Amino acid sequence: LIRALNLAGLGLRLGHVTREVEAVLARCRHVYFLHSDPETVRFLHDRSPSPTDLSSFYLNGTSRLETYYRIAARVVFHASRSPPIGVAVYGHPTIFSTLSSMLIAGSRQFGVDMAIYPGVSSIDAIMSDIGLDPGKVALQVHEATELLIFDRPLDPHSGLLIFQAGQLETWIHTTEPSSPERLKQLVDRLTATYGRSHEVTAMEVRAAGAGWTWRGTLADLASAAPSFGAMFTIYVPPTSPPPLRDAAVLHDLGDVAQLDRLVQ
Amino acid sequence: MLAQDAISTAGPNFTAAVDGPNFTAAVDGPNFTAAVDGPTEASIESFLRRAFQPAENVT
Repeated sequence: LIRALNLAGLGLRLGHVTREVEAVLARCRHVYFLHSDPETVRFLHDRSPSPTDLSSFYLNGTSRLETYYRIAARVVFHASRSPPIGVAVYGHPTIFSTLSSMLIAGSRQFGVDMAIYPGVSSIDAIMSDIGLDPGKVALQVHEATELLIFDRPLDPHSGLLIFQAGQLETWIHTTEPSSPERLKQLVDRLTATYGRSHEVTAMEVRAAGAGWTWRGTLADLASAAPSFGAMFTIYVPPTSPPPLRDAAVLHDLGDVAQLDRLVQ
Repeated sequence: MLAQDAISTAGPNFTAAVDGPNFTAAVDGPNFTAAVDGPTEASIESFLRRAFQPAENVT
């Protein structure tokens, strides 16, 4: 079964494209894509006739929201008239993607049958790059600007990933690096929970080749930002293990009698 | 039965079938036309602009 609109994650590079996504896209009459890796783009061109590169919709100095309105309207309309249509995007389609949210809402509103196919996300890549296991440190994931707008409590005993720090405080699309002043508010927000001397990591996950990693204190983060480019993520490790809540639960984990009580 | 007789006896629904979708739209309203023709790119964009007004962040 192929749906009218197929939203697929390509992962970060060609090696991440799943056989499922490859098979689905091969069955689509037309494919729209958003990916910067030349190998992955070539792969798409080899398998579908004249795919549309959605990056041509992006313009420096234009609101990303305006760009997404136009893309999503075009794609949902196309899927309603000439299905099946594929939309193949960088990473995982529903992780940090307003465009995907619009495609989902538009399809539901206008009765366009839709399916979503997962891909390897930036979160996956960061976890393997820095050896992060959320089962050990727990994990908070936030969008940078949202941290400044809302007063969501931060837990110093859990890891913290902050996405889109290079696009802080604006909806306007740009590829220019940040000024040192740009991160000041964010650093102040983090310092209130973690302290100025807490060590953090800033990193860029690239589609192809090795990305860069910067390690330093929160006090030095803002002044280092101009060298980071427009696309980077910040990882803030926990300050210390969490306080023990219930020692009895921990004590009984290896107890056979406890297991007997838990199962039928 | 001649077509003219049918129009005069069957009322507006039959007339709509004879006169085509524009007349139907005038009788049944724009929703009926939309259901037949599907959404336009402009109507989808209009919906998205209402549903995704500038909010906390854009990813």
